[in-house]
Amino acid sequence: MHADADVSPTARQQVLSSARAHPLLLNACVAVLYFGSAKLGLLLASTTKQVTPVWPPTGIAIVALLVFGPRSALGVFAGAFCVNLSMDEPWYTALGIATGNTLGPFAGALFLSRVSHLDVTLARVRDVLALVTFGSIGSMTITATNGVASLAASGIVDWHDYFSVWWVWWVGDAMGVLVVAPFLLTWAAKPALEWRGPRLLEWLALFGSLALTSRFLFWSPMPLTYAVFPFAVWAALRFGPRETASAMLMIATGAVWGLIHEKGPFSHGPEDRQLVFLVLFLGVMAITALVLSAATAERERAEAALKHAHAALEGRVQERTAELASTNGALKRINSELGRRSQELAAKNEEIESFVYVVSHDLRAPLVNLRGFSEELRTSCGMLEQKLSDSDLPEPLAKDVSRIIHEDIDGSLHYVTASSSKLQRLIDSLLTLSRTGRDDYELERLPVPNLVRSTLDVLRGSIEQSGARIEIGELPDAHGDLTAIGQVFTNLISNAVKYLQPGRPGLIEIAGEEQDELCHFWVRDNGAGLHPNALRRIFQVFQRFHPDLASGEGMGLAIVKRVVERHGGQVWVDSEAGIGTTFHVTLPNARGRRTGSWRKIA
Amino acid sequence: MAEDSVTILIVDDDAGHVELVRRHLRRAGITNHVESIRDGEGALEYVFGRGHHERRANRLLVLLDLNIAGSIDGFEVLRQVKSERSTRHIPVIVLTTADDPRDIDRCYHLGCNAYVTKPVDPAAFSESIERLGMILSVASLPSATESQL
Repeated sequence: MHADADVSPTARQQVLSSARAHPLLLNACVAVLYFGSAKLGLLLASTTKQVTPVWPPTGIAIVALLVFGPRSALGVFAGAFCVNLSMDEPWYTALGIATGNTLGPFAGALFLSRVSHLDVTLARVRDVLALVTFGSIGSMTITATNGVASLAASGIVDWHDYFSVWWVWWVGDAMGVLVVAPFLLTWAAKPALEWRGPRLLEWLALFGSLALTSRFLFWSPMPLTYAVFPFAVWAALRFGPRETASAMLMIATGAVWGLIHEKGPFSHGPEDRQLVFLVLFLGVMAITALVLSAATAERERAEAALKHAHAALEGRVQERTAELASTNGALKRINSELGRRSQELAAKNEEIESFVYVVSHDLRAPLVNLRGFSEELRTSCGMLEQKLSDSDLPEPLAKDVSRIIHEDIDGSLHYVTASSSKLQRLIDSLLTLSRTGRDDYELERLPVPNLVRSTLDVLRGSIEQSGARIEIGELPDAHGDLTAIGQVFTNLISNAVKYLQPGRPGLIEIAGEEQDELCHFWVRDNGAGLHPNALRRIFQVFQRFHPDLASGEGMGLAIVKRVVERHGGQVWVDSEAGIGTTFHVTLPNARGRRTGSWRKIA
Repeated sequence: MAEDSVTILIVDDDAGHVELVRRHLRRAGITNHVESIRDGEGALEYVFGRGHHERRANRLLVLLDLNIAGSIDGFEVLRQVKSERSTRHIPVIVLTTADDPRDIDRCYHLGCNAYVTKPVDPAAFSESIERLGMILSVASLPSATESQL
């Protein structure tokens, strides 16, 4: 996909199977091919019999050196030497020409593989341009310059004709590379014909119609050579560099064949000009078609890469979507689990509350007896004492009995009564708390400033008695049950008043602020404060931390917590012993809520 | 209830409570015969004259506790007494420790004639029962045959 990947395989690596041939055999083959194609090219020799404008061996030489490496240079050299010897040249001239004909392709191949890292599939524009620049124009300059110089030095060519002969030589060599090398390289890189079915038919149609067209064009005197361009474009757009190079070779073969038979549009005028026209035509067409096919291949690769990237992206999107879906599923499961737990908890809570309710009622019944009969006993004692004073018991005995009644029985009754009273208060507190969790709520917009003011009115007596100063800050409206929230503020404010630090002027701040979904209220005092150990238990029932400062059952904060949590709020405390305490409460704010009621919080 | 033929039936499973109620009624001047039954089944048998209880000719006033022993609670006793034509005229005063507003509502809904809470505090208890006794002593009750109308 990415031909420009770090190091593109060398030509040799791309054609490994042929590279394993025995060096001697390899060189012999190269030499024979070189020799044979040279003889074909020399059929068109005109300027001198050694110089021809169509010289396929250079293409063979450069391909051999690219594919098999420097070890095939000997075959090239041998082929070139034999060809030149066969043309009645002195051996040293042949030696000179063969040296140049080997060095040119050698330099070109070296440059192409080492510097421009040629990809022999010619599927990149830069490879086509590199082949044209270095393989064809560059390296053939070496062969032409050296070859004509060798001929001139041997006197076969006059030095005056050097440039005209050089020109024909150069053109012929360059064409040999342009027409032959792409064909050989691309087929060597990809020898299998991968077309099947309709594409194979199209392939056959392309080359069949091209063969027929070439036969007609290059036999006809009319200047219709441009008619082959559609075929070049066809091959380039529909097939690729290999088919394009094949079409080029076919066209070139047809044109040269026509010329040999003195047919076709190139067969007019002086022989040299005919050849130059032919060669220019082939050169322009070959470069155009090869660049077009390479550009098409590049575009196809880019499209494929894009498609691949798109598919990969699509895959990743799907992957992420699936991940999200599974995360979502997990979240849903967790959520439903949480919901279930919450329901369980609520049910448990309700169970506990109704348990507390029932138990406290059941506990009340024996208390009625305990206290009732204590009172009965006391009455009986009174009656007994009355009887005693009416009787005429001897003095010491009467005194004893009176002492038993007054001290022993009364003392015992005192403890029974005190304990049963205490028990009764605890049970009543429990009942109050359980009722806090059972009362129905009427939810409405709560004007908290009014609520706090009326609470302060109720507590006025104890506030004045304590001498505390009350500061009221901003108080946003909340949403909840008027009675229940009134109870919350009553508890918090009366706590603050109750637990002021003796000997320090009391200051109580009541304020709040509105938040996103909630209102946050606080009641801050500079009172006795609480020890950190106490803070953990402060919202539990029957917790009393300053029994010396005030009486109570330790239920107030438990009720506050219950009420606030039933409203969906939270309650917490900051405190420092000797500095003061701040109780915080959050409640739903009044924005965008309707009034309503509920019995229990699920 | 000046007539002594009215029997006061206390339905309560707590013997102490029964005794306290008896004493305070007596102190309030009530001299009527006081019967006590500790479970719902027994109370219904007594009221309807079933089992070993004769259908009584004399009139009845029931002091009913809600939370009583047995499978039939006070609410059910109240419901049955008040839904039966032959017994619905019998005054039923619920006398219980429960003071939940919902319980009170429910009892009146079922047809109780009064709902009195037994206070835990002895002074309040004696005051409640003695006042109840005083009311009973001046109240007129329907005749036993009224239900036959």
